[in-house]
Amino acid sequence: MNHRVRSTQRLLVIGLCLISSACVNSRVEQLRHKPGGVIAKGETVVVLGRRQNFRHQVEKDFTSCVYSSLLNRHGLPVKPEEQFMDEMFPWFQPRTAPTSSDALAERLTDPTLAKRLTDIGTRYVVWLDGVTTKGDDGGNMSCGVGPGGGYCLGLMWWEKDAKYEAAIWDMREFQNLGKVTVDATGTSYVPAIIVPVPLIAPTMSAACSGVAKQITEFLRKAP
Amino acid sequence: MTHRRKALLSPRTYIMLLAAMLLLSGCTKYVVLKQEFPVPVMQKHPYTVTLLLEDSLRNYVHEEKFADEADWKVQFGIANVALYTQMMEGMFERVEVVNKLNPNRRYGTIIKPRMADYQLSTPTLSSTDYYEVWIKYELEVLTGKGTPVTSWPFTAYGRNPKKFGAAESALAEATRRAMRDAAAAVVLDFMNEPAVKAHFQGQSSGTGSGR
Repeated sequence: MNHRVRSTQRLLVIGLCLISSACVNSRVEQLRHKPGGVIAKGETVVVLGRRQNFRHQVEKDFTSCVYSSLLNRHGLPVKPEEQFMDEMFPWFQPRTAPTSSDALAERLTDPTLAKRLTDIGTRYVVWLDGVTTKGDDGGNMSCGVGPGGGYCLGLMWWEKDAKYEAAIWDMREFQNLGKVTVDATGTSYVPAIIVPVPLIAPTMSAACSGVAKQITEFLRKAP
Repeated sequence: MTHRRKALLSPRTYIMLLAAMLLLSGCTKYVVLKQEFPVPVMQKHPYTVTLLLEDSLRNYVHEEKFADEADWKVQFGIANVALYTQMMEGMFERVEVVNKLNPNRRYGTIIKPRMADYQLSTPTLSSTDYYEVWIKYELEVLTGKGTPVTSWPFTAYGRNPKKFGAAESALAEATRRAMRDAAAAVVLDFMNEPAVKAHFQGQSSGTGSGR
């Protein structure tokens, strides 16, 4: 009996250790070029994913996460990416999207574009770039099925690294307000003693929360 | 004496049959494009153009067979019509859309898009996480009387990350992105193509036809 209690306690300790290690370490840095922007009544912000990079593209999940976080958690008036892309079609497509605030200023010398931008009320654009990559992995697990049911035994783990950058532009003043970079790493585990228990490190969502929080330090709603 | 009745199929045969059915069901993947495209935001060029959308473009179907994975069939349906109609209406002041030319009529400058090539790549083929699409279009420009002016080929590209169990929609999205890229290419470069520019400038000075 005593032996069984000790085994259970040991398992609990191992479980707690694993849970605590399935955490994410993130580092967020902010670089300001200008003082923060104020979102006046009727103005909106749009979060766009950069798609020019051939080797990687920002995951739609990450763009959606930052969008939702700014809209729902921080209460900023954010416009869906697809809506903005359609309203300004085709000037924010990967082939045509301006890569600097100077290029944006040059593009908006076209009065038709400038008028459309004023009409739709989108004042700030947040450009997201980066990707979550899978790092080292290891461990092994074996599973079997017998007359009494199935079982698994072993441990698997893998690392994920989320590196993102968010550049914030003021499209009325053609200014780059600054940028936020985040680097989040996390290790996920799947220990299995009969039943596999996945302990997934929320690397991307930690990066998303970090970026969204910093963006709100750049942009705030007019009182 | 009792005889145990033998099952019709052994468990192994069942599994093999099931695997074969799954494989067969994944033999050809169908993609039907139903996209709509926005009208480009730009200052319209002050010309009349005739957009000639022939049946070969309207009914374009791409079929691709791969040795080690499912075959693909991509039906463009109305997507090409929607893309070019919207695009030209945003670019030019007056646009007439026809599916064939009447030799007894006069037209504005005729623009005839043609699909020269469509290529796709799957995550398995490229060992990446993306479905990729390349579309090569060719815009033939003819005077209002049907005399060829120039032909402008260009390639558009689109890609979309793979999603488990959603290969068709991932390829459809990659194709949609390629078509939007095509619109961006036309809006950005078509009127700067020397022969096209010269043709429309000639119209402006009254020497060309089809204005």
